[in-house]
Amino acid sequence: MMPANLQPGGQPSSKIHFLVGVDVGSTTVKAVVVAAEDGRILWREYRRHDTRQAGMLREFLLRMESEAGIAPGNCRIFVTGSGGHALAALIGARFVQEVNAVALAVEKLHPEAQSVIELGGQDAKIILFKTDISSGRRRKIASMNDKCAGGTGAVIDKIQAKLNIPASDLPELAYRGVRIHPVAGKCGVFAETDINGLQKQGLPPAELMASLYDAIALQNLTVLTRGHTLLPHVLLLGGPNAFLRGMREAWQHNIPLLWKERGIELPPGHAAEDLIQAPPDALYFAALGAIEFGRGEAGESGRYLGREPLERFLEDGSQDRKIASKPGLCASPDELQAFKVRYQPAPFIPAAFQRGQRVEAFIGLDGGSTSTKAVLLSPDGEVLAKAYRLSGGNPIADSMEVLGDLRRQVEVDSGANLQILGLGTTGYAKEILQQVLGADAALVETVAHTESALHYFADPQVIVDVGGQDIKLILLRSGRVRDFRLNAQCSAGNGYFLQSTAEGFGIPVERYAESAFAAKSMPSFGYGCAVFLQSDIVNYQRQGWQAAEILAGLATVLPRNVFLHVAKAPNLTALGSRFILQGGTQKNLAAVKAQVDFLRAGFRSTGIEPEIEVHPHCGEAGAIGAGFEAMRLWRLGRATSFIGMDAVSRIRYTTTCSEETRCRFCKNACLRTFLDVQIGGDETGSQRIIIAGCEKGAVNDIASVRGIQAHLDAARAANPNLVERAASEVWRPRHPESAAAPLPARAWSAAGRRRIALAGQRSQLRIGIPRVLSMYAYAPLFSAYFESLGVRAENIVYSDVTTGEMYRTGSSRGSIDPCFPSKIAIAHFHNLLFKQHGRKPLNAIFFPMFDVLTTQLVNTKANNACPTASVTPETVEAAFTKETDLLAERGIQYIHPLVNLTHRKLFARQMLQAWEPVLGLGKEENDRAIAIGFREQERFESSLRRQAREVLDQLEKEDRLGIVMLGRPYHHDPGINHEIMAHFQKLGYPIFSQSTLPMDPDLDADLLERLFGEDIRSGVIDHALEISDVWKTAFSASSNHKLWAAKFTARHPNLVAVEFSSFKCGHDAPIYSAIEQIVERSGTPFFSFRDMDENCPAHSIRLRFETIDYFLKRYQEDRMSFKALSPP
Amino acid sequence: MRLDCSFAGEALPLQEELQRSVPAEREQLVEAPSFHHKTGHYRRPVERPFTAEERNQVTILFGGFTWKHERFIEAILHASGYRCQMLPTPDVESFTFGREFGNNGQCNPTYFTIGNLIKFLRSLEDQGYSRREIEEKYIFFTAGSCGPCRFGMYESEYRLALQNAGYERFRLVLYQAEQAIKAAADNPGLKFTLDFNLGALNMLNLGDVINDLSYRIRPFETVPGSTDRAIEDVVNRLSHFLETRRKFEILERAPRWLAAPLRHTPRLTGFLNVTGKILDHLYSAEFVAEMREARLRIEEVEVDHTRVKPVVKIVGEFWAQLTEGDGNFNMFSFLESEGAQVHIDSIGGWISYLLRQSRISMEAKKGLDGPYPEARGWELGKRLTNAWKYRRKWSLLRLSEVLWSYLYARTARHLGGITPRLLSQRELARLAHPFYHSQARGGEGHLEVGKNVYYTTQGLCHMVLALKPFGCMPSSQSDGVQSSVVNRFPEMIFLPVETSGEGEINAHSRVQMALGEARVKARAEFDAALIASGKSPEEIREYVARHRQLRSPFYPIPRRRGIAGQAANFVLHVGNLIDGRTSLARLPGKR
Repeated sequence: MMPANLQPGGQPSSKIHFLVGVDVGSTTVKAVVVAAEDGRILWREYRRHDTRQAGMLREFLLRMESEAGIAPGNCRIFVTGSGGHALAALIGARFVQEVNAVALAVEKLHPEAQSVIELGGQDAKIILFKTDISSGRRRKIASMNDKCAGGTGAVIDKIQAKLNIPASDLPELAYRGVRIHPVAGKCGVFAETDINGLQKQGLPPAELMASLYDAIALQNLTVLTRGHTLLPHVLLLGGPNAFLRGMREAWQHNIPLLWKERGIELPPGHAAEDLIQAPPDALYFAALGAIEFGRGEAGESGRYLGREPLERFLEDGSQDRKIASKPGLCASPDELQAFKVRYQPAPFIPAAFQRGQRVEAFIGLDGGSTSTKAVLLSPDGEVLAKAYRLSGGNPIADSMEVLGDLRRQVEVDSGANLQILGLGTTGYAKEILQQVLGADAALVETVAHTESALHYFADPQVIVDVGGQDIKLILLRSGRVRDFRLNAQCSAGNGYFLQSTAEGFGIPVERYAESAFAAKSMPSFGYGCAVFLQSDIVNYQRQGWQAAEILAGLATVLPRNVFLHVAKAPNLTALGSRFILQGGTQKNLAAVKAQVDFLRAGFRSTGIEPEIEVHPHCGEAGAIGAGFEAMRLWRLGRATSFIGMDAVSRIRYTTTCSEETRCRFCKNACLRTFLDVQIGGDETGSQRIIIAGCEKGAVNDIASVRGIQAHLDAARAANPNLVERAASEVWRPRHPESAAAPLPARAWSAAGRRRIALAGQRSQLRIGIPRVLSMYAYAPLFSAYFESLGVRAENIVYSDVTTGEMYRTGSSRGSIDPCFPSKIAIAHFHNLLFKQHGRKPLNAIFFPMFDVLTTQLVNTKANNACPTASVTPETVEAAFTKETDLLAERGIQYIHPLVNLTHRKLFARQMLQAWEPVLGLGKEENDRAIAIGFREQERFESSLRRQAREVLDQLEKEDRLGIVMLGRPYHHDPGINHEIMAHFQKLGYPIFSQSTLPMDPDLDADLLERLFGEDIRSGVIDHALEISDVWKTAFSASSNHKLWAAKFTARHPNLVAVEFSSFKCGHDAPIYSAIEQIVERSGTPFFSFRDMDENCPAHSIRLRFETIDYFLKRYQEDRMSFKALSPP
Repeated sequence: MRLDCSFAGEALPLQEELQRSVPAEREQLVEAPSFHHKTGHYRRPVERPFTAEERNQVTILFGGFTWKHERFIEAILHASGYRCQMLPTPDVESFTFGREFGNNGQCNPTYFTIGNLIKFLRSLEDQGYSRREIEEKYIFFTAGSCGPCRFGMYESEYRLALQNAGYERFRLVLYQAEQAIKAAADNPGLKFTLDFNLGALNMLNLGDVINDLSYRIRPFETVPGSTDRAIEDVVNRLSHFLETRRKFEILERAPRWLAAPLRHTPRLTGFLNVTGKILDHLYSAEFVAEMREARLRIEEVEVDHTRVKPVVKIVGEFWAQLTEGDGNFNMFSFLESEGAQVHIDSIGGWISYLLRQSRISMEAKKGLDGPYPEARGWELGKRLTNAWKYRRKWSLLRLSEVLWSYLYARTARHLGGITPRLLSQRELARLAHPFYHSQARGGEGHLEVGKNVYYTTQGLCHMVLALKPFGCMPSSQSDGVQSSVVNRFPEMIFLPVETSGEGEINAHSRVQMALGEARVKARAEFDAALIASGKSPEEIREYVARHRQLRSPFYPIPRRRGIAGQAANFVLHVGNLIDGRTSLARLPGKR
């Protein structure tokens, strides 16, 4: 048999006139036709495909056939792009991977380019061309975003729509000279959340767009370059780079900063920004590259077959559908009919008024993140009228409009007279609206929704509130809130996503359900991140799924996002069996159907039929709850402080957000927004509302700041924060006795002389240590070790405290995206190398790789450190040595031994091996220093625990509540915990952490006996410091400790738990459920801040603060009431 | 009832309201006492044992490897008298089940494998089994570990997901390498005899080698599907052999004159029995003969060694680099469909890593542990005891390493000799250590780096693809240093792909990106080889057509240093054959 590979290469059977390159991207199709002979471009075009890739390809082929003359037999086609793979075969084209295509085009058209940044609709690519000096080979290092569309054109599109920037204005919006605000570029959803918040501060759209460009540039420079430097010349390719001036300028600003920092020499005679340019054909490089690839292909490769197979595919797109599709939302028309009978809400009919009638009513106003809603409630709780407006960016304007609408319905339409008895606000803008409108109450959103549900339904157990951005799950027992869950920073799969997807298909959200119910089958989506869902949508469309089917499939994502992603409650029966669905998204019956089905399926095996109701005014549930609060206060005799409808209509305001409004009361110097509101025509009604990030910024004179500071100081004194103390005391010098061996006067061997020389230099040696990870637990051990050996305390130099600025400045060399506590190490190392070393040179940087940690617990299986944290010192070294060895350049030794803290002798050996060459150490002095180190470590830990015990005793005495932060020692870092615990402290709660709880078997014997004695006596555990009753696989030191702290909190009457966990934490994830169950089973309030990373979503965090604070106050009141009511 | 309390920061006449509602409050508080008294405490679920009495009624479920390995596991379980059933390869639906019922934030293998079990249990329910029946009639058998990553906590995660899915009483049985079998019973249902453990060794080796063979041969087969058919036949045959082979019992095998006295010397009998079993399992003529038959069956597959295929070496996290389904985006079949030859990794390599790590960890503590850790310099007896204990354990570990490598190599040799031996762990550690500490645990880290450097510098592949599940801690960290590794070795084409269960198209696209470069490299290497051979394609083709053994999958093609491609090495060899500079090599087993 003839080897196939060696068969004579076939020649085209007829003459090829044209070579065609088609780039089917995620949002556009681009095509180029060139002459086969001389490569002249004969035709080119690009168009958005609106997710109809196949259809758009057909249109392109039609046009190329008629306008450029291509036909089967006279051309070869080469297809590239993320949507091209499946389509290429249908027309006989050869598929070329897009990065390879772009690289070929760049090598041909711009051989001088060493770096390429291509931004597409949903993907971003960076290609670096590196010439190997030894072989002369030019190789390329390419990286693409593989899962997430953060930092791509899709985000720009979304934000442009949000900011209402006309498409015609966008290309010319500038970056240079525009003020930039912090926006998360990591994820489109986070970026949107940040932009939302900034927009509400009144910042102009142009600044927000420029800020987004900045975020996208930084995100790609930080993550996608994988730590490599983009060398000049840099080519900017792809749609956003080609069309958007601001995007180009953002690159031209940020890349030269890196060049400067990394000492990159620029070709003479060029300004930095000239070296970063978008070429004229920036859009077509992939298509041109595909053609270039085709030139190298012999034979029949890419022979155009004509459009017929593509036409057939388009006619019957379902042929490629995956077999694993699901039936539609309703199995039969009867089922749909029965569902509608049960759940179709009765249309709202506004109350009718008589001309001249005096209408007394309360107003509930919900200033949400995406819309503003208002209701008019009669004194007996009936909804008289409603008003709604999509957020226009300013909550005052939106509120004026909806309140005006209510008034119009009563006074203008009916001729009645409206008398407002009270006003309650809720939602994102509740405080501003309270101040401006004189509202009687500003109610936390979760509480407002609860109030509303409680009014309409008897004993609801689970309130499922799905709004535009927020998903809230409120769990009740006997009419009391017992727990709640909120989507954290991610608003994945929320109502807004369903709406925008439908609108993307040209289907208004009101017709979503009708469309989705028509689908006989639907694709099966995953759940969670909206961005992944977006790429699934594109893929399903490619497979031929129709809009209605996709909408039906997406509806089924909603309950999974609510109950699995947000609530993390696979066992629905544990939540309760009476569910109330409310929030604007519940107006969508397809979403309701999906939730009803999901809930029923979850209960199927129990034989219980869950009761599921939809709130009669689901979109306005929050506003109604706020209105009820105003009504309650009125009934208690409080006269309303509402400024009145007339005054509302006369409100004038100006928004100022500029350098003049910048806060100067602390080093953060945050930008604030001044809202100068004038009610009525004169100066008497004028007031200034300051929108600021903290209490101090909310005033504008130093005396007020002092007053606030004094108040804060008093709160801090009354509520000690052990997290803050631990984070501060851990770095203090230990000043131990000397462990150093006396130096001999002379030595007879070279080794001896070397040792004397090294030991003599110890007092001058400067050691840098990154202030990260396990150092937050073990710095005293190492401080004491070095100090006792003669290193001066001031020469042990820790990197600065983590800040957002530090992260932005120093993290661009990282090549991976692990948890934030690990990622931040690169920034700390950068701080040591560039800042601390710059101040006074460092001789060494010490960053041990913790393999095994210490523990006070008993009967655990192991005390492993987390592998991510363990190996971080290696990834850090890679980051700073891969292009040039920055450590060697600075003459800094990097010492990062693997250490086992449980095996003290091994640890001593490991330290001796690491430090002998630097300190000229002897074994005995090393052993003494290790002993001193451990002694100081124990002193440090026991000192904190003693303080904690005092606070706890005081707490018991006063019978107040304290919060235990269930988080690892590095969560003490204020830059990692985003100062959330400090905020709770200000609210009046003493703060503990898992590593500061009292646990001394002798000193705390009484406490441990009270908490664990019964368990020991009943044989559940053998020792108070044991976790075998709750956890079997006790291998991870910090996880073990967290579990024990959870047990402690669950048993202590004055403690509640707040869990902290970082995004991607592999040691926390397996114990999530156990921690939750340990705390909650005992009836102890439990809250969590999981998936924490560099992003700090202020709105979501504030909502949590407020809700948790509200909840804890209720909990404490209940405790007190119980105490008062209990028989002595 | 309405909430009647103030919100944050407001001082309202709460007490008045509370006083008015005292009776209702009291009733409520009595209704929900745990709300105020921290009394009810969580306990982890009680584990139900699987006992010997249940052995005949209970089916052992297992999975997580390739179907080839699993068929052999099934055979040895059957041979030991157990009922068992292998689970299908985990797919995206399994992943969804895993996410639904497990904790959030798990790594991918957790979701896939746990979800796969739940998916299977659900399918049993669909067949009419009640949950109670399922809990009584099935158990799941899986590997345990002591960490340091999430793997150490898999057991708890399995239990949680099963509980959340409604199978609270479902039982898990763990196999832990260092503790053999853990079963919470005095008379455990699963008892692992020497025969089972030796069978397991054979199972792993056979599974690894046959799996590797399938990937090495399939890209070159001239009749599509012929490799898969041959592999299936071979797996059937070998598993039948493993299942039905006669167990070695010294008293049955010994001649009558010896058997009688042996019955009276139980210790000697025991020793001979153990030795005999070891030799029988590993060296018996029947086993060697079965492997020869297997080789002959595979040899029926005709191949075309001249196909130019970029060689892609797979490294990565243990499970992601092994599974053959959605768990790694069906990466192997995708690569083959894109024209690549895949060199997969073996489970055997992981075992030799574990053995070496145990020894190295011991070496690090040399002189620090022992029965007399505090022995002073002059306490010679104590020090000698310490040294003896250390040396004995060290030697056993070293012997295990050597034996394991030998056994693997022997299986590879009997099955055609074209699959490589296990790599030297020492060499991998040496290559990785400058970048990634070789004693940092969670082997994916340094092994990925070591293999990347080894395969590239030895010219054994055109591209290294690291498959790592989303969230894998050591594997992600190794990525952090690979960017530095890539800078040091300019010829390296290295691509890490995170397998998340979602985003398959993007992952494939990235692989195509790197493969494009590898393809160019392979083509250039082939073209250069063709030129160096001095022969035209026609000459090569004609020569191959005349010599059937050159179309055998087991033809031992000599490998030139630095040339990775099979086709390039082949044309160089054929060039030499035509010129008479060398002679045709013998096929293994042919005289």
